[in-house]
Amino acid sequence: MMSAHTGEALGWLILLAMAILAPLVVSDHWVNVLIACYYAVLLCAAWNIVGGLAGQFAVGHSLFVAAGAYTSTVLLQRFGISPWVGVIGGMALSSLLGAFIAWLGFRYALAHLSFALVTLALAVLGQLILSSTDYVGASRGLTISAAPSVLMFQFANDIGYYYVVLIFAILPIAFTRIIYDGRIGLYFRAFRDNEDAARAIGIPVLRYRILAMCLSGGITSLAGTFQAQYLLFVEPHTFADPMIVIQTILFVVVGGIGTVVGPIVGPLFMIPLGDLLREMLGDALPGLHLLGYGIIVVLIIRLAPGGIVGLFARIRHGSSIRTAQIKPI
Amino acid sequence: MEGIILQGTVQGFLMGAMYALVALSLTLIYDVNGVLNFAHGDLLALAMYIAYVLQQSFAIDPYVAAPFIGVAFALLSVPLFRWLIRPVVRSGMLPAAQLMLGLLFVVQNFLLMTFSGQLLSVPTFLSDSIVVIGPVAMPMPLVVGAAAAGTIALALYLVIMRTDFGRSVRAIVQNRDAAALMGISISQVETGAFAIGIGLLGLIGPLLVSEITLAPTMGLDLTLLALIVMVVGGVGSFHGAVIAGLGIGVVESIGSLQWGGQIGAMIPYTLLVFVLLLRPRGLFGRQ
Repeated sequence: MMSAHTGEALGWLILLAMAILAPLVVSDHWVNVLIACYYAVLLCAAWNIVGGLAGQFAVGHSLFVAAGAYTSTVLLQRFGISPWVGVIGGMALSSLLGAFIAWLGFRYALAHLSFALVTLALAVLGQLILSSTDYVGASRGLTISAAPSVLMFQFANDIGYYYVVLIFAILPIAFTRIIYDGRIGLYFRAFRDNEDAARAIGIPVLRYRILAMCLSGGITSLAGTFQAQYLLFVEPHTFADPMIVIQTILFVVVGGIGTVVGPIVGPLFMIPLGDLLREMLGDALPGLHLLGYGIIVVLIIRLAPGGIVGLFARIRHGSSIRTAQIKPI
Repeated sequence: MEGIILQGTVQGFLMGAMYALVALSLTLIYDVNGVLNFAHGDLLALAMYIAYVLQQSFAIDPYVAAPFIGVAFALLSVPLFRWLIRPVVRSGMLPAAQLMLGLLFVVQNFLLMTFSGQLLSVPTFLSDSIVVIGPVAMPMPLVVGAAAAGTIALALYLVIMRTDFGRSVRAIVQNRDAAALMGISISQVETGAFAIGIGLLGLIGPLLVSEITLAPTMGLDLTLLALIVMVVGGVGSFHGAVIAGLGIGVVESIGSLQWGGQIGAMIPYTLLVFVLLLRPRGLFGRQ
């Protein structure tokens, strides 16, 4: 009889082995789809730390994507510094920004609504500023000259990018899994569920709120640098549009917000589905697949609160577990 | 500079009247139902596109179409609310906000699919006329739109303050449980408030349409602007939303005229951050 703990470790190992071996088996097209999946998993898992675990409805993470992408690209194009160094600069900048935003929200006791709005407003401001600053190419953005070299974070084919984004995506997931039942995770979930009670029993709420946002922002900026190196350009629409965050939040919700596997399940379900819908419907009417996609998201939120993970939990434990007990936030 | 201030003030006042009305309908839904309608601006955009289609295909002037689109929106919002939104609201405000983000995605992609990325403008029979008052020249549709927005806002105010329905709305906002105990049908008032809020979008969209260049992705900006007006004015405050709407319209217009559209577009967001830092509950919020 295997203990639950070993079972879980085995599950993770099988998943990891599949991810490592996948490029040897699947076609080039699917390597691309999987890169898109892992990129989304990275964004989702990073957002889930602050939005799911710590319960702060932050809607401004496109700011961190932009900070990562623009920091590494400016350092590379203007100063010739390798993006491997730039990525650390981007993380530092994003963590600082995150800490500042978390402090603002706490200091001025912003309610959920105001906090969501302030983060979203800062994201839009960031996009407007990037679109009008000539130093970073304004709305045209900057291009990165193609010169494949591992030291410069450029690979000759997609396989290199595949493994980099896989490692990046594992970081926030491993982190979430490790802290989830530990002190940090319990603190996060405590003030998510009841901030006054958490404070009353002596949890330093401000410090942990800042920590959540710092980590979430820093990890999100990894995605920005990766995407800039993968696409070889940065530009405000692709890297700073708040729709990036909205899509990320929807993926997390579909997977199961506040859970460890939710941010993996959401993108791994939705992105191949989007790809499939595009193949099926794309010819009929351009954009129809995105509409179908949106409708599926809405239906999942309506019919399966707690997302796909919540749905499975309910099936497993029988119908006695009501949705209210699988509390999304 | 003086000319810019005068022109900007008048123009901003007119735009601000419409911002205020959109924010009021957002507030009504938020206050009564606890739904933060992220799809608000996209539904407004949808109303404008419907007005555009009616005008292009059937030569129906947007001013004529407005009341019909408004009623259609109000009626269609009832099943939407009952079947889709209310069950989710029961499990909390954040799931509801996430649902509305999903709805935003649906409406925006529907518009992108139907109209692709092109920008459109819609003429009405008033488009070429201009009103000149002293040194200020204003396009007629803007004046008419603002007058309509003002009238509708006043009507909404009277409904909220003077009718039984309005009293029920205020009772629910103040204390839901007590209102239910007094025999108010929460379910009906909730549906009614949602229908009025969405219906107002159908009504105001066509009235605004000739003053705005239509783009399928403009909804999020409209939502944000309405949210900013609501939060700056103080959530739940009627005159707060009106004053904030007018104020933001004016500073945005003056800023755009003085420093160009990019800077003008940044002003409301900057203003929001500062107001929240100085008065976290908005200018006229319940403390």
